Amino acid sequence: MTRGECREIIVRCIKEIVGNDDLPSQIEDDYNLIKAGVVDSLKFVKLVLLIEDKCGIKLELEKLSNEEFGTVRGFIMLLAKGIE
Amino acid sequence: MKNLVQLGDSSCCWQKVLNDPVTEMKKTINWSAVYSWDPKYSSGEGVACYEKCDGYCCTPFFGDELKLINAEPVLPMLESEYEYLLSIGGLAGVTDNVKSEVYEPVEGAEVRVYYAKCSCRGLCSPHEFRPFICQVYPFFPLIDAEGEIEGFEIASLLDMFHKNENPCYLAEKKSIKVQERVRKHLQPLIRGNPEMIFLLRAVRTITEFMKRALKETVEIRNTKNRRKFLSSFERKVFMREPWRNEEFLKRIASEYMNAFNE
Ligand code: SF4
Ligand code: SF4
Repeated sequence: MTRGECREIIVRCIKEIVGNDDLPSQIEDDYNLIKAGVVDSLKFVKLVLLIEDKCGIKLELEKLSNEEFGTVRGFIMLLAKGIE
Repeated sequence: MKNLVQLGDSSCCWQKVLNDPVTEMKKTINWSAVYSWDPKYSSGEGVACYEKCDGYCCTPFFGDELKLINAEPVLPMLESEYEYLLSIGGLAGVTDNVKSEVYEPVEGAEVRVYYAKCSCRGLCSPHEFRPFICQVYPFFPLIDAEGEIEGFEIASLLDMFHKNENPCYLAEKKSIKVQERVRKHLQPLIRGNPEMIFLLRAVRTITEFMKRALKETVEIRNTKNRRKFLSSFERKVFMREPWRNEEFLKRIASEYMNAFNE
């Protein structure tokens, strides 16, 4: 899977959990869902589980730095790594 | 299992699946009796305990070092407690800032928990209306399955991990006196009360699984150690990691069935 394909899956999952209304029209890689306040703990867990479920991998969130945690970039990195 | 949020085969936690037919948990706690004591603590040295610790338990002590979870105290309450508080007029800065989640410990049973973010910084008023978790702080009673108090545990997920010194003066210096007082007041209200037994057994289970999941301790005066600890701690709590497993769900289900004789 290419980086672009990983990104596409992540963004689709984010939209499914958060809903379009609360998201910016253009979701950048450094968009942080937690800082932006669009996910709380429960929604974040649901998002992680949804990505894992769709892709059949386990996201190793502990590998992310504090800066990457909660960002689109962080998810893409983990997904790309998980399916290597 | 049906009592999980389900996304394909992945289980989330004991959050209920919306729209299932459910029965609310029986409300058996007499909150008026629980709240009917003088819960103000003195340090025993002529000053209120908060003067010994700068109000550690009521303020956003770790400030912006916490990135994922609230730095302000978040106070969990069963629905029955929240309703009681509202019925006596509510508590400004607490009952007006709540979120709730619904859990399904066993199929068909619903437990709603309110989480109140407190912005009072120690000045909640009237102070006797402060939530149960604040009334028993810094300890909560560890009870056996029949409701007998066996001991005490630190009443905050984070404070369980202090390596040397807990910033709470009462926890450090007055633990026996505080625990005796809590025991005397609460034991008669716990024994034989299913909702209270479930509440305290569930809290016991939640803390036990938290301790299993986090093997670090914190020295709060050591900046480097503190930051590292807070980062691990808040990720585990935010991700609900200690409680997203079958063993935890089974334990909670069995506590529920035991408390309500189901
Ligand atoms: S209960 Fe403990 S932390 Fe809270 S104000 Fe009193 S001494 Fe401080
Ligand atoms: S409700 Fe009162 S006692 Fe409880 S955290 Fe808030 S200020 Fe402190």
